[in-house]
Amino acid sequence: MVDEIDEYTIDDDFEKPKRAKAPFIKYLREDRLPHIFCPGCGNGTIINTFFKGMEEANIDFENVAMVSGIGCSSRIPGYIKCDSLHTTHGRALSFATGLKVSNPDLDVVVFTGDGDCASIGGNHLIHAARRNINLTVICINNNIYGMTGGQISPTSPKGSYGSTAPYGNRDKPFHLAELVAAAGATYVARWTTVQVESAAKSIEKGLKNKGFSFIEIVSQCPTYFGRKNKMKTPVKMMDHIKNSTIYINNTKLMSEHELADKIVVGEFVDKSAPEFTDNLQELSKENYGDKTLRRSAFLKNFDENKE
Amino acid sequence: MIYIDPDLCKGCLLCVNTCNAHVFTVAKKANKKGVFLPIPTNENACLNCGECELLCPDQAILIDIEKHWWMKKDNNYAFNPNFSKIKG
Repeated sequence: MVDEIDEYTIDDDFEKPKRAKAPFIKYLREDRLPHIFCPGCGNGTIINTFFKGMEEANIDFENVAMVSGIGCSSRIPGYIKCDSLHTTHGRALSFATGLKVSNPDLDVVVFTGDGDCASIGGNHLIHAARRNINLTVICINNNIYGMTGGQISPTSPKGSYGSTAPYGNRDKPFHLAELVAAAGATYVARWTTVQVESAAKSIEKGLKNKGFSFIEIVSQCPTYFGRKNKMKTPVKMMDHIKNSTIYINNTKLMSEHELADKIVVGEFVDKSAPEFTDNLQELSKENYGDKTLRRSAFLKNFDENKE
Repeated sequence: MIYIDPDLCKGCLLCVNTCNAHVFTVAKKANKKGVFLPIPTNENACLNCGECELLCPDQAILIDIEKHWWMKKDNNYAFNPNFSKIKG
């Protein structure tokens, strides 16, 4: 066995098969690869899961538009061959709302991180969920501000260390999936990077769902969260995430004290409710007889058209 | 056959950890970039589940296309009709 290993390592011009590329690499910009993410970062895994969910939902790739804010996770649309908007910090959801209202036929997908979505853009998140706009939001939660040097974020668990919390974090974390479910979103789920297949299934459901769908994926950050919390390698972080997950159906009889360090995983909400762009179109049909208000502002006889 | 792209792999070894069939082992020597590549030494045990391919953060792993989880028996794609339209 050992001799075989040595053979493989020395061989640098190893014979490539006919199509020596991973299946989802055709959606990516190959001239940009390998990407900028650290070794073992969860963002690359989430790119794969998104494509698997997209293929299973039978969605045309050319109809997808991606919006992102600022952060590690918001660099993902830069590597994908589709129309994308890279916007200001925390305002990805408001830009996405504008995009969706102006062209309701697009499939708008928002990639945000926990710092982008929960801290500076927290208000936008709640109100997007309240109005139930037809967006798919994929929130990549790595429990720390990874891009700026390991500061404590609103979702970092109690007792974890960071560069702004050298004696441990004393605050309670945000539970994003529960927060968005309470705000009125129609599809909410939380998975981790260990359960990739389930996450892909959730993304498929979120893309098909008509309304605000929020998928939180807890991912690993070995470079900053892991290094400060005695989990230096990605494998160790993965094991930690795997050991601390609980499926939502098993938590009914558990106390709050028992659930303190756990990651509750599963589908939180799956329902239907009236949607924002449909409401707008109904309003414009009642008043102007046309689907969208977009054209009516440019008409010369704007007031006569009112009948 | 399992192929690992040495240009894309960054050596996080998540595939070695997650494989249920223990297909991969870690190389003894580092390659040109200083990365200890995972090597599919126990390839006969592979179940073609595609978990490592989905999980790989750097899109470096390719499993044999004929036995692939998203291929049908008559060489058609299993789900998306738009899959073949995009030219890579």
